[in-house]
Amino acid sequence: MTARKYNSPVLSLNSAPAGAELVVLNAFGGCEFQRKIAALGIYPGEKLEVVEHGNCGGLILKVKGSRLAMGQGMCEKIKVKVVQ
Amino acid sequence: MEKRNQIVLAGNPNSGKTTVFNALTGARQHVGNYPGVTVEKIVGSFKSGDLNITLTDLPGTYSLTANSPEELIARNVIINEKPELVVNIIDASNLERNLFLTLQFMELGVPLILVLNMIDNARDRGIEIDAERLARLFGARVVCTVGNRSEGINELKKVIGEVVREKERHSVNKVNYSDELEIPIRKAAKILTDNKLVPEGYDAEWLAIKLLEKDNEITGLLSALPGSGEALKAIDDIIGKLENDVNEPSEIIVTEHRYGFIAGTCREVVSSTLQKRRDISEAADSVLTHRVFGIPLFLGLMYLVFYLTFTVGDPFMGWIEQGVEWLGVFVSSWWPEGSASPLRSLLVEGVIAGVGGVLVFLPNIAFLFFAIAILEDTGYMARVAFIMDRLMNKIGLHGKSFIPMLIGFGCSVPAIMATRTLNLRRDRMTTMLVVPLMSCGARIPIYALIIPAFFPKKWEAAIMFSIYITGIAVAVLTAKLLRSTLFRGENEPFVLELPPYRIPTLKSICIHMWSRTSVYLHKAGTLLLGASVVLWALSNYPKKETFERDYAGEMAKIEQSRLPAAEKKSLIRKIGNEKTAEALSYTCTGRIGHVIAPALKPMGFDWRVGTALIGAFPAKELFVSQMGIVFALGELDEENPVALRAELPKHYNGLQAYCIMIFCLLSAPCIATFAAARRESNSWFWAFFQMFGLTALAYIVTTLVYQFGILFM
Repeated sequence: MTARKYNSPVLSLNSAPAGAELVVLNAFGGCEFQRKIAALGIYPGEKLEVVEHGNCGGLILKVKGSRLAMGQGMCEKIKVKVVQ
Repeated sequence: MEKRNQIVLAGNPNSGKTTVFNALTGARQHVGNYPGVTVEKIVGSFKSGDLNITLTDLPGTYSLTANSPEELIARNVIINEKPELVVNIIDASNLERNLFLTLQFMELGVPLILVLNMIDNARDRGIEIDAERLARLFGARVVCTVGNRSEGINELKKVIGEVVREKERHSVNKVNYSDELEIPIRKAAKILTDNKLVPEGYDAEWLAIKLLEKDNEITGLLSALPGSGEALKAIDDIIGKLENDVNEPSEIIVTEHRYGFIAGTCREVVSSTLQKRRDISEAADSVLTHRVFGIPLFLGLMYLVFYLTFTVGDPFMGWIEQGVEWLGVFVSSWWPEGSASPLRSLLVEGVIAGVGGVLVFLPNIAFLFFAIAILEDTGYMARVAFIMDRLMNKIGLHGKSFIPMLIGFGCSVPAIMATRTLNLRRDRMTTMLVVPLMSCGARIPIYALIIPAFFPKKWEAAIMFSIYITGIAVAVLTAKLLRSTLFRGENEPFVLELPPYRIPTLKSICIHMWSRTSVYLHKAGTLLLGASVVLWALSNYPKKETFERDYAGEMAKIEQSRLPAAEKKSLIRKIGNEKTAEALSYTCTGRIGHVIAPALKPMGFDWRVGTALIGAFPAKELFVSQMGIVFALGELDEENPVALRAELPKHYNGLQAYCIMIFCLLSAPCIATFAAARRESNSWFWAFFQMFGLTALAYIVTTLVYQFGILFM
């Protein structure tokens, strides 16, 4: 449902451009993974921003006023769209 | 016994919880473990008016769902121990995310105080929070504090007292979600109540929420109850219907509603006055976590830390050296000149030389912990974990493994305890097994003894650095080996909050430094003291009464000869040394040293080094005191072990000295580390595996270094 609102391609978080406003579509992984990132503020419909891509597929992102560092594996599982 | 009121302190990681805890309780703290698990439990106390309050610091968590041991503990403490009050520390500049946890305390229905901490930060960022309104919306008292400046702490104490006294007047509001979620919750709760499936101490609606969140712990608890099958199935149907209606998994629906509730609250209480701007932390991060410069900057910083560790510590070391020397002379003076009293020997050569020789290096260790505390308290450590994640991944470790490994440079025991932040056993075990390869503070005395004795001043820092790098390199290879053999499997995903950079207070750095340094001091006072005495006895007994050669006769002959005075003196000295060596060979340590000496030869060690290595087994730094004892005995004039630096180069060359350091770096960890590894891995096998594995590794590496090295000598 969130997906339909934004008319741009679905991206993995690690291929999303830095600086753009993104919206979370979903996260692949077990419900434990989903709950874990949800507690950090990453859940479908939430807006976030990639601050910068790190040296290695990892990245720093801004969500709910705090900044999170995230490794490559996790970024791949989170799908986002650019808000236009 | 006087009545104590039990309350708990809870909050997100990085919310400044520990700072508030320290400000409330001061030094009255006790650190232990939660029973059965390896999560730290810190308890402190303070007075509010005439009330005696006991405050337990819950582990920092983002949520109360059973995602990690910490979260499970936080919630079990509240359910089982029924604290009278939960003091929820909230980072005021990050209200939305922090209230996610607050909401879960409200779901539990516990009496609550909200502490808007770091309120100054929030104001600087243009965030104004209407505390009164927040208090009314949540039905909880709200206090604003700045933990590191102790602002608002007295107010907080007062409010805690008031709430504890008049508990019934302070019940939190019930959280009402919109009907979409609220109706399924109530239905599920009713099913639980009707079927008597609400265990003592739990609330039906709370259990229902947890079932909707698919919390393994609660699902397990309820399905173990007799007659729960039907009811849980009915609840599953409710969940299925909800998921079908909303087209999302129920745990996500719960999250969305919680954040929805919070967003509504924030609209009511938060007003932002400033335009969003790029803050200092972000600017700093664009350099410090830079994809190219990040790692070199970090390495440069570490080099600086170790360089300063040596230069800053130096004058202090001098003072302690003099103090130890003075004490030795002073205690000696209790006996007449030349007395052979065993007690004097025990005190001066055993206790003072042994413990003193180790205490001398306290300034170095304290400074290193000081520097690590600064890196931790500024928030830089979290960045380090991030920039190292890729590298760590390559060797099969997690980015978070890096923090225990860094603490390992101070002491392996807290480092092994710090592996608790790793959730997967294979990540944790691998990290734990290689942590002792990080050169800990207890090895510093060994380097600080050997490096200045054998290497020119301008090389000191570089040699030291090379030792540390060797340790890291061996750890990398070992970790890689372990992860591709014994601990195969995928890495745990990496996610870590990057708190804003903060200027740490001197007080918090000192508390940090002291908590680690005191472990070292405690060891010096107990383990080292005892071991020094035992080692002294082993290297003094059995005493040799009849010697194979007539040393006294030989000396007398030289004395009477017509040789020049200088030559006479050196010959007499040589014979004296030979005599002491013979005596020492006869003692227990000497005998053990001689027995293992052939095995040590490939590494370039003689029996004396072997003796000292045996001595270093309980704790690495004992190597220094043991060398001190061995060589003080080997001298005609009774020299202080501090003069050991001058003595060593007469017996060994630079390569041997380097090999000694390498062996001490890599071989079996100290007893305290062994105990920590056994406790944290919950297995004797792995503790022994670590001990023997590392010793074998040390033997191989040192032999290679020595054998390769002599080709160039």
